[in-house]
Amino acid sequence: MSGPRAGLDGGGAERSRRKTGSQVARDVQTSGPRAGLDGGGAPRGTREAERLVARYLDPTRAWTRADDVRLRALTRTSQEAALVYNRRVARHRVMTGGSAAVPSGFEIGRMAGAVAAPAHAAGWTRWFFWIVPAAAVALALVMALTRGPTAPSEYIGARGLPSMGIEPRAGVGVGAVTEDGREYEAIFSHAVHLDDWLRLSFTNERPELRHLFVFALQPERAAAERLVWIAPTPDEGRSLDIAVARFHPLPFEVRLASRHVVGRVAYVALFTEAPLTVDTVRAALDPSLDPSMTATLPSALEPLLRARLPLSPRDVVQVLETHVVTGSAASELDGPSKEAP
Amino acid sequence: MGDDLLRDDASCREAFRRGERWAMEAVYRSYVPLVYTVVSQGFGGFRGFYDATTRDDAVQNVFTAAFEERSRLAYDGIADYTRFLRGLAQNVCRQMLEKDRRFARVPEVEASEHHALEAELIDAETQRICAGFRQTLGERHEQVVLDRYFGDGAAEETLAPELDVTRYRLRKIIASVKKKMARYLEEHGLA
Repeated sequence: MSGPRAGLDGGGAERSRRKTGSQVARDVQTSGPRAGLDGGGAPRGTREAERLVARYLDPTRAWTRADDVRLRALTRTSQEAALVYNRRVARHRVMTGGSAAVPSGFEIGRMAGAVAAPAHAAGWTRWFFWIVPAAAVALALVMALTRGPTAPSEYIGARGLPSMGIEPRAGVGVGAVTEDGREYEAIFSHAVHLDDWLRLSFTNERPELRHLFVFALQPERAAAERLVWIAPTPDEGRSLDIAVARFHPLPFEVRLASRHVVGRVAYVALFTEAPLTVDTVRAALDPSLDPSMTATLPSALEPLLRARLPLSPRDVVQVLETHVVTGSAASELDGPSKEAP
Repeated sequence: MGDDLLRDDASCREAFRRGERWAMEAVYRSYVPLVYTVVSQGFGGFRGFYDATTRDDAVQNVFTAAFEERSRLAYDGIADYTRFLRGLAQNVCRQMLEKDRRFARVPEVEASEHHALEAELIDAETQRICAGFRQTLGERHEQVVLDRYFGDGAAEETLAPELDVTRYRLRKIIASVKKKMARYLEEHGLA
């Protein structure tokens, strides 16, 4: 082997696998929050990617495990960052005499050093510790206000501190994430943005509730368009299977613009003992039964769903209302403009 | 020594199991071609990841998993490590694919073919320019440094004696080549 490049995939193989524009588009779409073509819309993520890739390819500067983790996370979550990475490393590879598709020996050294280094508090860890408490606080607040009915307890004992507020809970947390991966809470901020991605998590402390069904209602839309499937989708057919978990993220994100429109929205979560089917929920929300029904949010919704769906008294119905607004939260998260008055 | 470092080199294997950095770097360099083949060419019905970003990310994920203590201790030193690592790489790829699939709930309008075609044309032109960089290096040792240090990933301690220069001098040459790379890209509007 003459060097690390020997034995790696050659450029010809890469070329033969190059896809058509529509195939590329599908790949981009299935890459989640990275989806969306380079519109120059995420300068902050792009700048950070430029800075990190420049450091990555600079032999006079150190490259740590935290740098590597941060760069990979950025390219995973931002299409612009991925483009920066692809463009820069391809040039570096060709300039150093190799194929654009194969890391140079220098890069292999950088990557090896990063992965072999002891794991300290890496970048993603700091990010994780920042996001999780924020999500936890938001979810705790949501659940405190939207406690589902619980079965009468057979426990007889003195009332007091030990029993305060610790009954098993079930609820979803609704958040959104910007194109460059910054997350925000959606219910108490009263807004989710069309250009962002809906991100859901759930807490379920009741083992008997083994199924979750989440959908959205947009009361201001035409009756036939009010119901927005979230999970399951119609092709999945029935409730998701869930276990006891706390702050557990649902393993998908939904591009808001693809299904939502600007206006009020209510997210409805059904934690149930028996699974519900899409057909059952669709029938229960059929606007022809009561045209004003799905336009009434959110207080009238729970009794209506309990009446029309095969729910047990122990099942939890949670309704969370917010507003869909235009644009992305990225500009708000960037802070106030520093333009001169 | 055979072509399976961990199976054939007991001292490296023991150091690897203890988590010593030099051994893990040696393992990375030795097995990265195998892992790169898995992530770029795929297996079963999977035809490999398409872009450099995802491939490199997958490679790092595979080695991160392989370097966890549980994985290091799980290898018995008897069977082929290549087999062990290939299985691990396939699992990591499956996890990445599964994660991606979950994002595919929402059909979106596909981008136009035009964008991808334009990107390909820019790529080809850039490739031609970048390939010309080597010819611009005229100072002594610069082309060797480009090939051996940047291309092959040779370590400074290996390369300095090869060129019969001190490591200090070698670092100067490396920095000079790096600076020329940046200037070349700038001159061609690629910075």
